[in-house]
Amino acid sequence: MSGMFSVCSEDIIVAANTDFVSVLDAEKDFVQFFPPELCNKLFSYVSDKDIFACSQCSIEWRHVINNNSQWKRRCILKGWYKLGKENDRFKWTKTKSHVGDEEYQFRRTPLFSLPPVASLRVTELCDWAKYYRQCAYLENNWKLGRYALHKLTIPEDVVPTIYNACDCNGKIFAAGTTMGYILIWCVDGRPHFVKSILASGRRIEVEQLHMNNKCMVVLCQSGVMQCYNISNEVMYGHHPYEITYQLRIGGRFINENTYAFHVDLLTPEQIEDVHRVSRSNRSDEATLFSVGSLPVPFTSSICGMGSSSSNSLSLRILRFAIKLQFEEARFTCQFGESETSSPSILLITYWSMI
Amino acid sequence: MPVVRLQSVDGEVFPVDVEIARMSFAIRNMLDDLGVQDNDAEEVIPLPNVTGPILRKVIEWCTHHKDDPPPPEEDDTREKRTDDIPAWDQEFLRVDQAVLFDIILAANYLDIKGLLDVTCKTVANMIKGKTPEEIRKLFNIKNDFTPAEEEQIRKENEWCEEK
Repeated sequence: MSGMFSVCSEDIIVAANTDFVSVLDAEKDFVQFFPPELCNKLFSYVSDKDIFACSQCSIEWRHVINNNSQWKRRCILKGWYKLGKENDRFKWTKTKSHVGDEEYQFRRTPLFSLPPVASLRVTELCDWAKYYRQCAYLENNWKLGRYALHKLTIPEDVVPTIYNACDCNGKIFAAGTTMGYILIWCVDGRPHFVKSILASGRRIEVEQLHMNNKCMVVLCQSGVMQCYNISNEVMYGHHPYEITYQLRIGGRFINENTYAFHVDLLTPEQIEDVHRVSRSNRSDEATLFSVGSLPVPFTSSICGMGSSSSNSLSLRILRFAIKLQFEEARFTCQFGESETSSPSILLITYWSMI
Repeated sequence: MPVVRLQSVDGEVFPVDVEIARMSFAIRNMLDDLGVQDNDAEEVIPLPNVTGPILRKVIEWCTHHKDDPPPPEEDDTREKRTDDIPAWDQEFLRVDQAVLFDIILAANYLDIKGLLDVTCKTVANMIKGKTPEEIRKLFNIKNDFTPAEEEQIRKENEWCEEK
């Protein structure tokens, strides 16, 4: 009986609510009396083009549409999967423009930015809604021909090879190859080839290459890591790129769950022997992570690594996230199976705004 | 054919074939929970969120679609189409907006996927190609943005305009 009673009382409440809704029908739109998840479902049927018009109707409408599940779905459908700072899709925006072969003008690519929030009543756009707009803007610019594709020429004397990693800081574009070379172009204005460097002095695959305005960090397969000074003066003086650090990263399993790294700072002379050294017994000795003179204990909790059955050393480094902080260069380099895996490129291109 | 009796919030009772009633997952669960047998025809299922006229429409839709194959699983890898509403449904949903929204609420509450699908598509089609001002007019939405807020919203959406 008590069950029946509760049903009845619910009846009355809902009946009262229904009256309420129908009374207010003239002043309320459906978004105000639909449950949010139903609104979300309904709006999921609205095309991308129309959803923007809907967002502009009222505070409530914008609010209801502004949620990650609504926008993530739309991003995924477009093939825009990555979200967050790891995303390097937008790095190129700093690149200057270049038109034609001889004539060129410089104009900054307008950076994507959202307008400041006008009032507290309007909630900030959710992450996926922002991301959708960024990607749509980028794609639109391509569609409308605001960007041009430039071919970077590769000199004939460079050994043909596979490009394994690349990065660009808006001024220079560098690519690392499986043959151990780093090819460098200046893309500030009309692109031209600058030089190629044999990274480790040997033909050891360049696995990763990252740069900012000052430094270029290269990780080779043998665990050799090099940090180059690529600041302006060096660029324009056509001075050989100066190696500021050379490291060798090694390590071993202490137990089945912990892999300990050690990093040795190398002198230019030592780098010659790196390939041999990295296979020597020394790799198994140290259990400290050290940069310069400051040893830092490097444990599995810092690395965030899991167990692995293999104990082959240098080749496995890329499977762990290592974070190295260079105090002097103030450059942080992240390796590992992170979101920023090296793009494989066959045709090297860079893009800029016309 | 076994029958269940559905009672709307305003007390109207509708005898419905069990197979048709079971198109609503909410009713299906209730029947399963109650363990209703074929001979329990006197059992009344109260539906406290649905009025008589709306329930009549819902039953009409279910009756017409009783032999449809089960609706496909939600596919989030494809853009949703809205141009595939069957002619009968289009005619069936040619109703006042208030009724249409009540049907959506009922389909949501009763968990009738096919009906919810087709009604949401209908609303999406009503929105299609309209400006914000036209949408406001269509659904009686009050524009409560201040000029500054309106400018913000316009700017944050203009990245996606093709121009």
